[in-house]
Amino acid sequence: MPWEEVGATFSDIWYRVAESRPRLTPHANIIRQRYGPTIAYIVEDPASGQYYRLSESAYFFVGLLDGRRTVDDAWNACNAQLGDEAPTQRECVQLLSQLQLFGLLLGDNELAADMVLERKLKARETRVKRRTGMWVFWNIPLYNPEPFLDRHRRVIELIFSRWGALVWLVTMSVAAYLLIRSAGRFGDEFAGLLALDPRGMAAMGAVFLVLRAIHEMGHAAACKAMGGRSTEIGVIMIAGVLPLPYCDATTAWRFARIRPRVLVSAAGVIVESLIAAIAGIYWALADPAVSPTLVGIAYQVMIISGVSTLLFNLNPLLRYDGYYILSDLVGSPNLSQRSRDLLRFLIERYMFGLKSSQPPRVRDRTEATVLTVFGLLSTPYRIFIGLSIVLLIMDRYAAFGLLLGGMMAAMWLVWPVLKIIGYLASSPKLLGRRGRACLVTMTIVGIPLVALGLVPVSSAEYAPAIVEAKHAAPLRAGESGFVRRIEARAGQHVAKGDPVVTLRSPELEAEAARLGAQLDRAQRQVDEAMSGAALDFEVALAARQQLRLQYDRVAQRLDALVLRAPISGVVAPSDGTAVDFDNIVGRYLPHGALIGFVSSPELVVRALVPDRSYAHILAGAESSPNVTVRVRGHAGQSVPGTITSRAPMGTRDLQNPAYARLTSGSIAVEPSQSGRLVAMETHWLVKIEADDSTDNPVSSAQPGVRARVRFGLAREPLAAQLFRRGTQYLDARLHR
Amino acid sequence: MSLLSSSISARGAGDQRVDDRLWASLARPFVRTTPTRGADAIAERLAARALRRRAPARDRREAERIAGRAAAHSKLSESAFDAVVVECRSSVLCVGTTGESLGEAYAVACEAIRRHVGLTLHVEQIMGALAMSRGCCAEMATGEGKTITAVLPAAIEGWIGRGMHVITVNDYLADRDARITGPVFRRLGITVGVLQDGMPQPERKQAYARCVTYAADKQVIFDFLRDRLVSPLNPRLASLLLDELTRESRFTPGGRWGDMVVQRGLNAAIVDEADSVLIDEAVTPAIIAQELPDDATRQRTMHFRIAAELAGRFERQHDYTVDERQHTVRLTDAGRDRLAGLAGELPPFWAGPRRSEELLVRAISARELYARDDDYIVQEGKLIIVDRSTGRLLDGRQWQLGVHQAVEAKEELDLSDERITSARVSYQRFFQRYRKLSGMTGTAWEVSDELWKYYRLRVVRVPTHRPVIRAKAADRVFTTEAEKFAAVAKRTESLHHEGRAVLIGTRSVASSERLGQMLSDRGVPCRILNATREAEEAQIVAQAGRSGAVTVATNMAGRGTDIIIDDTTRRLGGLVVIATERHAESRVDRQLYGRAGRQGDPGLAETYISLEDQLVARHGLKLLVALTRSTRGTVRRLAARVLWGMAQWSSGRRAAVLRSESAKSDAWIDLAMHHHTR
Repeated sequence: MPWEEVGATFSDIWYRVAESRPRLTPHANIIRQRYGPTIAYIVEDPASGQYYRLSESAYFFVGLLDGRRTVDDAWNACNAQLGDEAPTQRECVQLLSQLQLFGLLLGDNELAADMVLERKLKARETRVKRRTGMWVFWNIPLYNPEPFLDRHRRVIELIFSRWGALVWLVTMSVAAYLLIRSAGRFGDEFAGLLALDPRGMAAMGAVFLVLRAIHEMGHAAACKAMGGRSTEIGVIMIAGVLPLPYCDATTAWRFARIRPRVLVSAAGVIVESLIAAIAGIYWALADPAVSPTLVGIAYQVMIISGVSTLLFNLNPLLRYDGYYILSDLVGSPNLSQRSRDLLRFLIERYMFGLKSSQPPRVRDRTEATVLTVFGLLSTPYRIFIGLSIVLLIMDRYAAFGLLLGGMMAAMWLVWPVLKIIGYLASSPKLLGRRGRACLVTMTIVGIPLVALGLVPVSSAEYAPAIVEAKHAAPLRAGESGFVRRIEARAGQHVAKGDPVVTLRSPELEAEAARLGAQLDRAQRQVDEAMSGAALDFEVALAARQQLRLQYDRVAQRLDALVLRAPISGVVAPSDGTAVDFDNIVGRYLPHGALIGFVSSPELVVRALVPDRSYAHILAGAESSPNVTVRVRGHAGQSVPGTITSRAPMGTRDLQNPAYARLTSGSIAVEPSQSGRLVAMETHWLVKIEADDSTDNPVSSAQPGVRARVRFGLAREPLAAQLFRRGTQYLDARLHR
Repeated sequence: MSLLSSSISARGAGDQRVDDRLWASLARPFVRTTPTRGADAIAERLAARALRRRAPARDRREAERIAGRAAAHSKLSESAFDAVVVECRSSVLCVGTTGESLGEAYAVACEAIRRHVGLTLHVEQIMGALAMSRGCCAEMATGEGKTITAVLPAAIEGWIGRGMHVITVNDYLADRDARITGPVFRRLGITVGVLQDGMPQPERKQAYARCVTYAADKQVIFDFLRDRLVSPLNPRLASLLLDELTRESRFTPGGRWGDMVVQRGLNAAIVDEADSVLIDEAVTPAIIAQELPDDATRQRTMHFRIAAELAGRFERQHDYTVDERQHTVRLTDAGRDRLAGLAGELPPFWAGPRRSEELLVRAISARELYARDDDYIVQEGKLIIVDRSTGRLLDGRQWQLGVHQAVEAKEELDLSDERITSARVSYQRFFQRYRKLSGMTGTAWEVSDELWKYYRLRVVRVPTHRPVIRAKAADRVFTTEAEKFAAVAKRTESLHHEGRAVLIGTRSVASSERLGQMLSDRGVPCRILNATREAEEAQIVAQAGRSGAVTVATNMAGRGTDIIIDDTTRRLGGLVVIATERHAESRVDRQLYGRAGRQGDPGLAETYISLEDQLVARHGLKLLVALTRSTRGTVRRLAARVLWGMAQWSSGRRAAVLRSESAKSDAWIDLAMHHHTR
């Protein structure tokens, strides 16, 4: 019967409570609390540490129940007093049974022992269910900070006093000033933080745990300073492995005013930021050469507390400190649930045209806006954070990350989708509007799905590359010698055969002189022998021949002292950092020493294609991938090119450090492979030539410039591309 | 031996035995079950799906063995059989109902049935009994002889003697079944009691004290509630025993508690037509309401009267709008203003918009959405509610929360006083209280998950004794209701002239009257049954198989009665069942079709449906309605099939949600308000 759902003023189960004379248990505390413009009453059960919030009218009703009045009388009195604001019978029944379940109500009947037992068992069952159901977030209470806090109450009160605030402010400003001053160094060290070895990771984890513990102590201490109690600090085991300290400061609930509640919520961040600021001051002033470890730790403290504060703690979109601060400041308790209710109402009313959908109680426009914005942002943000964490974990522990990712997908994707389907299919609310609801949902979900799944869009793979000369002929000393003169400077254009460097070899010159003299003598002997015996002539001729050969050889070697360009091109010194050859004049060069290159003016792009996408690009190569190159410094121009050759096998050795992420390339390298740069993943070398050789960023580039190659592939729907990328990613992570 | 036989004769005579006392049931704590949620609920549903099954081959072997044993007993002389009965009973009492003794007991019961009813149970019936003995719900097709089948499990519980309730849908069936099975039970040394409406208290108590009690569900559940009213709030074993020991009751004012109640606890029950009782009836809880002359009640009634009168003054479209599909009424701004303007004439309770609008809207809803002859009838200046699902009249019942007064105001009757609930229990919670619950019905397959969820009943489908050769014609789809009824009348006329027997099933009293009128206009004599006089109707229905008979009946009329066809009818192709509407749940359609072609008889089932049927109007997808309306041929047939399928599914889901809400609120309130458990 439809009206039973809306009917509330009179309830058909009223008879069950009408004649009873219950009252609140005497040990229940009632605290008046201001929530923005509304006033709420908190019923606290100190024995169980549970709280129950009452609205003003509900409080009026409960207040009338003194054990002598019947529920019916109390209700009538409410009606007379509050008029239309009075709680309805249904609300009263609900209220009473809630209080009953919380054990806050004393009935006028004897309380049956087995009922008490039943309730206790029920409570235990739900607790166990919560524990087991929430194994992702498994609470382990460890420590009761109460005695400690009591002992140091003075200090704590001082910390959270005006003076404490002043100290905090001063410290923060000093730290901020110092950090801004050494901002450059700050950025430099950040890169080092990312390439951590396992020991570094462990150290960072330890720093994190200590910081969190301090943070939680901050909550507990603030709670104490404001007059509350905090009896439980423990560890939440996230997914059973990642420990995260927590603090139970629920007594902050009972604070009547907003300020202390907000302060307790913010205390963790306040304390943590203070620690971070001190660490920052130390980091900025200390000399890293003297105590590198301490400075490193100080840096880590800064980064960790900064990231955790901004991304998690103070961010109201996750249900951490920021959320509670926001909900206190806006004055809307239970923000997240209510924002969901509001969104559902908006969807039902305006998208499904469900006029019977009841809006949740919202105080005013501002609150409605906050709730809507919160509802719209929080879920995507949570998914974003979750996804980032999963990816971060997968970088190191692929299987575990995958498991976590699967769980998150089940929780945030599969389950909600099933629920939505169930709702659309069978919610009695949708009676008569089911068609429209399904249509609207299908349109909203379907259009992006169709767009993703069916509309082919351009698809491409990218690879890091370096522009290099197509041919680079080495310039080697043909003969040992001292450098006499530089004929062509580095960067100078030479034709084939032009001298580049001339050497001087006194030894060879002496040898040539000696042989020349001997040759002269031999010539003379031949001349003499011509008139003498035939035999002598023969002998002399042979000797001269011998010497001539020797002489020629030396002459050739002398010739080789002039290093000539083997090809036409540009001269480049062998040491990449040298600007020209000046520094080698007069230096001795052994035979075969490399002094430089003559590189041809035609340039080629050497791209390193990661293993995961190589096969795909290769397959695309048959249908001639549309290769374009972008050279660094010429962002707007892409140069079409063609693959000219591919390496026969992949490698993990990076010949050019410019590829590595450490030197702001894009390829991740294995940490701690001293000296060598070993990529995390196998890469395949592919050479690409620009199609048009004249006047484009590639042909005019200096060799060694970084570039990026885009392999345009056949058009493909976005969903297929995403799927491919995902599998490629997993492939790379799991089969390394 | 002689000792045992004398104890048979002593049974049920005079003094209450220990087993018959109320405290036997209190000695066992009642385990509250709360409806499951989330993953648990899904798991439960899957369990129900996994557990429902066709009767296993093991059961067939067992049943054949039992039939063989029964045949062996048939050679015994009367006195020798008596000895077997006594022996068997003692073995059941001593050994319990496991394996061997169960088989023997069933064989003995089969033989007793053969001797006193003249029927030899066939193997399938014994299979059904076996399923019931395991606490399952046996699905046995109409006409397979469920009444007799129930004797087997009932006999065993009867011997144990702690109370066995065989629950049927109405008093007539309870009485009839008890009369059929009585001689068998008596032969087995089991006393049988029957409950009928209007029986005085002592007779009721006596009926419950019998070993086996035949009763309609309403009788048992309302006796339970009445017992609750005279019992202490928390019936406890200790206080009951104390009560029995002392002369004057400390716990109930009117006398000794044990003497004031009629039931002696809920031990075991076999529910006939289990889906109808346990599922269909379970939408609304059983409520005992009284006219209490106290102040609060008078005030409440006054507000409802005001609302009822006000509702008559508001105009549709101008002051409020009605959404027929959603079944909701909404005030317009004009209506709101009008109500606010009236505030001066009304008591202060009506001052604000929240309460006054709620009361008014409910009264208007009652006026607009409750249809005469469909939901209620007016008889002798009184409003009598008609049970929507069964078509039965519920005399003495009253709608709650002002609905009744509003409808009375609409019909310009004297407004009655509101009756205040004093005890209430949902069907789910009531039947959960039985220690052993089993059921039998023709159609349980579709509701197996609910039977499992609420009652932990597994559905076991028992094959029919002979293959079903009933033919089912394709649905005939009409655009308007008038066309449909004209076609039904025409078809009936021609069938009647052929000499075939026709049974027409209708959803409401109104449409059966209308159809009856159309048929008599065509000169076809017909009998109309509206489920109001069960005994007479059962006789009429029993004759519906005679050649040339035309019977128009609401779905529930004559339920539980076999339609036996005569030879002429059989020769002409059996009974023709014409359904004039699809019911909200396909299960009920199957019940109607099942009336033809029982026990291998020939038969024909036809369905006539129109786009104006209530099911489609409320649950049909508009798009499909338009498609069906505008197309012909195959497309139309296909669209109609999808349309009705979806509508039935949707309405079934809705009903299931309502039932689950009813069970949930009951369980929750019970848990929370434990000091008020009435």
